Amino acid sequence: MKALIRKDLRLLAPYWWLILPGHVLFSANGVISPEFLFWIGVALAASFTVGLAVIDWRFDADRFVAALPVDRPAQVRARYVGAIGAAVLGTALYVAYGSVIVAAFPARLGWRTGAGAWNSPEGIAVFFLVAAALVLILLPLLFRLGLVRGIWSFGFVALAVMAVAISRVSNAGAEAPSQALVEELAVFVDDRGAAVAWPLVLASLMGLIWLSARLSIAGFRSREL
Amino acid sequence: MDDLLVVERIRKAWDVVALEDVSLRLPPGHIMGIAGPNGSGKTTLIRLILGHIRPDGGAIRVFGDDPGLSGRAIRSRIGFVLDRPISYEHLSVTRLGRLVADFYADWDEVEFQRLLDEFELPGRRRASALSRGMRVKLGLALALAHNAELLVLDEPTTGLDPVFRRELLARLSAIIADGRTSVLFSTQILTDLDRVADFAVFLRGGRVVFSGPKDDLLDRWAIVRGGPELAAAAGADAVRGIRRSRMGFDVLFDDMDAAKPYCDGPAVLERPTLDDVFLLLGSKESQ
Repeated sequence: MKALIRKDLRLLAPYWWLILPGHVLFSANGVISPEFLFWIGVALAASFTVGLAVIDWRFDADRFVAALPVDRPAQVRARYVGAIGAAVLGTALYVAYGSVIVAAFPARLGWRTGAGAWNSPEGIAVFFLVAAALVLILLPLLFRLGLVRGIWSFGFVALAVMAVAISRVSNAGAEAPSQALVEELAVFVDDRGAAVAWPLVLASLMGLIWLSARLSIAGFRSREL
Repeated sequence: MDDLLVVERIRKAWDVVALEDVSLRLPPGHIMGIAGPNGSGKTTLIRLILGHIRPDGGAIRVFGDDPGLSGRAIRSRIGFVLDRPISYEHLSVTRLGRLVADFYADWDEVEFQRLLDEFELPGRRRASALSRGMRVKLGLALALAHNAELLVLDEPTTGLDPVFRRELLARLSAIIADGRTSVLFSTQILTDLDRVADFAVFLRGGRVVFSGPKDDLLDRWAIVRGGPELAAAAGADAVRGIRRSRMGFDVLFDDMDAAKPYCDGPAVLERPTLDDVFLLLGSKESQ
């Protein structure tokens, strides 16, 4: 698996330099609103995670990799490690740029503070969960269906998830989707206490990653290259 | 010594049958060439051997194991050049070498560098800037730098100029000189088989129409070219194919002695080339 991860890092090396200026360029638009920063950040994180997820397909190399001495579960695990790592990196950059923007424009934006704020543990956790959720849905589809059909299917699934999310936000009367999610998580943590709630959140995330990876392994094993 | 590769009655079908009842054996220290037209099942067979796909029936053993179950261990002992010889073409030759080296415990960097020198491959050049021939050379260098015992090459000579084709085939002959390494390659060019293969396999429509030692075929088989009276030979046991010609018929026999009685009069007996065998095998144009 280490060889696979190193391979991905080597393949991405020519693009690493784009990450920082890309964030500066797009995150600057976050001054418009915290909601805007959130979704810009998610889009940027998704560009790493999805970019990493499809890298072998991007280079039409799935048969080449499959001819190397690696087994398919290891390929799947390496892909998850890379994609989750990319989501962590995207979250770190979101927090970093958010902090810069808030420091530069403290009064103008009226960003919330305390529980439910963008930079509270709940705010950061929601960002990470949304960024990670993209790959947890995308990867099983890619491994089962390949690049083209996988992306198409992901589009349909993403539309369905968005429709449900928007209806929930509308019903809750929240101002913005991300804020509604952060508030829900803040209520969940308040109700159960941090000592219980955060391990539960972590366990749920690990469970989702495990389930998604199992689906990916099963799909990839049955797929012909 | 045990055969490195054993394929027994393999069947594979998608919408149409890709391979049907295909069997072959490759012992160590030999070269096997698989020939056939487009769509005959050559690449499907290679994909099965590499464990990329699973057979619907029959069995494959590589180094005694099933590639569907022990794929990783098997592939660590296989060197490969696929129909698209190189992936990640945006990387330089050296970086591509480093990327592949990580996957093999037996990677020999000195040997890889020696092969780059031998093949005159510039380490700093991007793979995408290499010609088709240079890419095949790079694929071969990557395949040879980890002491592979079985080399699998999918149409490596396609698109190569005659000079490099000859070089490549000579290189394959040199690879098996250690008596331990074997080579399996597919091709549409029958002279490739003629030059280097110890065993020839002809595929047509997913079926093996010939499989065996090439020299046996060239030494023992015969073609009789003659007039219309040769149509009478069509029912003989040793006849493997018959086709109309300008004179009358060309008849392929798998036994020279069985062919001799048909050579009286204007008919002539010849040793067949692989082209002759491939064209005539299975044809029944006497009706």
